[in-house]
Amino acid sequence: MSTSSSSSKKIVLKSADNETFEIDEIVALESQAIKNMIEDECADNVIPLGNIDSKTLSKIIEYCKKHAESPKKDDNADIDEKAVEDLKSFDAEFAKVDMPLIQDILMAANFLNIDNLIGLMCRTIADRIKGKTPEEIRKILNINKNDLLSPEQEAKAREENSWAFD
Amino acid sequence: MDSSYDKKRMSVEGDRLSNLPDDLIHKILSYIGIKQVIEMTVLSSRWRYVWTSVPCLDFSSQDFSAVIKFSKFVTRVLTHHRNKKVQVYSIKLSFRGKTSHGFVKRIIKYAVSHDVPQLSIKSLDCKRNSELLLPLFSSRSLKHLTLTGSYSYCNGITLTSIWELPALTTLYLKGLRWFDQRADLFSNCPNLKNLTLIGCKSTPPNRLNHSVFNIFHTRLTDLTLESIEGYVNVEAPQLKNLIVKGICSLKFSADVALSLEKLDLCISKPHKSYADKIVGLLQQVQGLKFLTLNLEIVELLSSYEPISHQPSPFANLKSLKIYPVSKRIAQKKKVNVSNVVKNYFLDSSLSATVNLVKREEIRAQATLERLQRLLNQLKESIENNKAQMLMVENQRAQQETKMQWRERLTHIGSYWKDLNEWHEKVNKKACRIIKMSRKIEILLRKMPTSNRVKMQSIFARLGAEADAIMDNMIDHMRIKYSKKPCRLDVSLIS
Repeated sequence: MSTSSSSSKKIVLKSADNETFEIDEIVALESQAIKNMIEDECADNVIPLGNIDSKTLSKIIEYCKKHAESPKKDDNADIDEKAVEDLKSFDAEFAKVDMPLIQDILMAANFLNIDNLIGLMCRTIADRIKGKTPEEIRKILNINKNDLLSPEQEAKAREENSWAFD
Repeated sequence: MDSSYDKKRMSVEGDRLSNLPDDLIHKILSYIGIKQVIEMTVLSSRWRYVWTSVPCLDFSSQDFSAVIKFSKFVTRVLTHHRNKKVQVYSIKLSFRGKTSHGFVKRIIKYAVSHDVPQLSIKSLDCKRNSELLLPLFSSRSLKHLTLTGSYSYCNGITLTSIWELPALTTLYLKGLRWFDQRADLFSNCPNLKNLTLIGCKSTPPNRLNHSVFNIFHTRLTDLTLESIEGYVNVEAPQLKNLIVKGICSLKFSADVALSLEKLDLCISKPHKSYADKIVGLLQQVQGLKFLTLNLEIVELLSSYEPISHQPSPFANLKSLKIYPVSKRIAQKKKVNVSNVVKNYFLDSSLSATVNLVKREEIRAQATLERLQRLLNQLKESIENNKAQMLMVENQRAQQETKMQWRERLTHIGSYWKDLNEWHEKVNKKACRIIKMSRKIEILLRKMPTSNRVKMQSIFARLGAEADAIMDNMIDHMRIKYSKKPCRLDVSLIS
């Protein structure tokens, strides 16, 4: 559980808006993508993440830190139940952010390949759109007006799937 | 790192989801019923054909007004996926009514013939039609199976066939009944690791006998037993985790006693006569590392004299957690966990950590959750009211120009009435929020500092949220009560 010892190797991540984050290697390894880069030795001292802004990146680092600190299921059978519960409530609190940020985190987590975080964000999005009308979902997901179907297309889609609309 | 990705990301404002690859969209949709997924085709061009390739199908008859419509719907979706050769990963079915409905059969047939690894069927009710399920019990590829009977186990499904499910790893059965006692219920499911039985019953051939479950399995690692009457015999040398809810008579083979690492035992209202059984169970599992009990059990054992003669059974215990089920804090009866009981648990494992959850803590937790819900409701109510206001205001402006002053007056009157009703509702909610906050403050004060910190931060966040909502509300009211509500004001608040 020693993550923040001063001797451990550091990795620097640079966000799209040129902010740098120095983190312990073990925290960075939560990302499968970064892990692969490090293993293939193609990671420089600074890893530029040109598609992730600093707000999103700091959230992701917060998540990775917490999860890196917690004992993993596979390498230790004696997982403390308290730690599991603690992680659960951390995740629940972590997901209480607005939709644009959730979408950003999901995109970035997908890019960085952080499996647990992808799952958490997908569940959160699903919870928010479940049982809502298409109109409400458009608003929740902030769907781009240019992508909307034309009235004719929408009518056609409804007609095509009329068997599903009770 | 990837400039093409970069451009894509920058080109969209707001809706980033539409740029996600299909597998992530599918992952989100796996939590949503298939009917709603199909309804989402009208969202935007990105979502237009998403449903045609979703690998998780969650059917619910409750989405439909008539069974016949639901049945047609099921057929249509399955036919589509078969024709398009979509690999289905999971099928869930939840319905009310008789299992003899064609769609149950169709879904089972599809799952078996298309190698669907995950199947869940909820609310089965088929005392007589259990042969419908037969094809299921010889699936070569089924990995996770959930079967839930309806209401109580009297109405549940009766199982008589032998199960041969070589790939099965997780089995969850609720409210089901077996007719005869097979010596060995799951032996033809050689890869079963995780078994849950809730409210299940095995009807003995001779009615005088008690219900008996024999769980003999070499690979089983996780077992959950809830509301199981009668006897349960467990022979599972790999069993590591056991959850028992409600009283049942458990008997372990000697190897289970050694392999079991984690036990969670919960009996919400333990009768005095259970103490024997509970101690009997605990004496059997000496290799235990993690033990969780509800406070009510420990309170019962505290007044159980024979425990003082028992040696502490656990030599390897690492953690003991005791939590209350009942949230009620009895004022008169201050219950103590006696030292005798403490010694019983901990004497042989001095280094074990003890986590004693107080009733105040779960009360505070529950109140915090309620507060969060209330705040969400209030937020939504304000949003809705704003939107409605805008609409009414526009309508009013349009209509008023055509109206006589008398009509206008009644019109305004009804408008104010609506407003006042809404305000009263909101006011009530606000009062409840204040009351709840006070309650939480008091509960937090009673908690030990170590447990308080985390809740306090959540409480602080909720407080800030409440502040923002109240500000919003006050602004909203000010605008409404201003003497000349004109459309300019309304457009400002939207």
